[in-house]
Amino acid sequence: MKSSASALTAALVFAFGLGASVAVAQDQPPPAPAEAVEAVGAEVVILHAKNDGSGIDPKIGKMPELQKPPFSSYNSYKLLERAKLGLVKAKPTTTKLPNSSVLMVSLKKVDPPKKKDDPKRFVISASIQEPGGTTFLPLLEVNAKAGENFFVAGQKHDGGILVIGVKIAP
Amino acid sequence: MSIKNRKPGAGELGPPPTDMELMLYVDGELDAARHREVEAHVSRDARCRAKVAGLDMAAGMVRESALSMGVPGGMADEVMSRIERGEADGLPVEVPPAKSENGAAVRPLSVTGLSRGAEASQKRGVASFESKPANDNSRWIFALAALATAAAAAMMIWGKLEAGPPRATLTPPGPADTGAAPPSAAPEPIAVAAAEGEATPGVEVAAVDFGARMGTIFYVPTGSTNSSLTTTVVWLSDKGTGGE
Repeated sequence: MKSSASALTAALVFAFGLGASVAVAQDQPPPAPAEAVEAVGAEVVILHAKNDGSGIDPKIGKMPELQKPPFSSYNSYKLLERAKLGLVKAKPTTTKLPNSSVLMVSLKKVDPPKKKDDPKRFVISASIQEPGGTTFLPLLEVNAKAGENFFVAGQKHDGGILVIGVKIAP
Repeated sequence: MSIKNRKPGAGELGPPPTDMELMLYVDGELDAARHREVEAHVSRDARCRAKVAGLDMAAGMVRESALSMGVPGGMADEVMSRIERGEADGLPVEVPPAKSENGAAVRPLSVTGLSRGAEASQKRGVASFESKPANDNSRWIFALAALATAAAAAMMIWGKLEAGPPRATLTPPGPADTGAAPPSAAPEPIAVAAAEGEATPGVEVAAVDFGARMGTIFYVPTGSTNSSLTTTVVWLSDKGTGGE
């Protein structure tokens, strides 16, 4: 009985201690709201994919994805343009593409980190208008962290296709 | 056990007692010298006194709870009378089986050295390290098990606190997987269905409208060690004839 009482007393003491620590954790204030971000930098790369056996342009830099499907359906990638954009909230930024289409990119909102060490996430929308008023891509809306690429590919151009990469600047 | 029974200031001041020593003190399991030192601390330190009072109360609650469970009728009286008669000194005590409420016989275990145990229990509160090693081991095993259970419960609670509310996410169907959107005259933005257990997408597609074209969303493994495990690719067909 004495042993049981000691063990139970010990368990009660530990339980009270842990309960108190959990209570302290609950009392911790939530992470401070992120500063309102109204603008962010972005980088657009425009690649020309072909099957002419010329390989991957070293100017593109490190992009191992290009050797994996679906990119690997083309064996050659050439950097046509690399542009820095300043994305302002709710103001689309336009970039003219080599096939005369227009890429529109805009910053829709910035999601604050869900946890303390998480990065902010940026909600970016993109669309591509073709000359003549038709729309190649009506809408693409993504949620990305800074430094992450996303690509839009498929527009025919000069015996190949255009591959457009967009990355929020870290 | 009550604090009132102790004599304050009866010993010399040694090192301050730990919480475990205070528990042993409350249970009367410290050796005599340390018991006196702890007693002196308790008499002089209000915090120690408060801790001891709390432990005393907790132990009392446990004891009352245990006692309230009771034993089959007549068994306790029989054991006590035999102890008083000294019949159990060093010999197994045979206690007649008691009848439980449903008529089944309840036979207690044979007990040896009950009188010695009774003496030990009378000395309780002063010094008692006469308990057998097996008892000590079981006490520690009990305490460790209780600690492990409490820690596991706390970690579960902590995990729930950290997780936050569930959120509907747009998750890829898998690396290099496809999810073609059917063409339609007036397409609505498409939300890709969530898939559990796949690689974390680098970029989540929140909405996409392919218009009249065929389109496919790919999540291509980056193969690098950075934070993004996949790269998101939206691949459209030109002229609406399917993927390139």
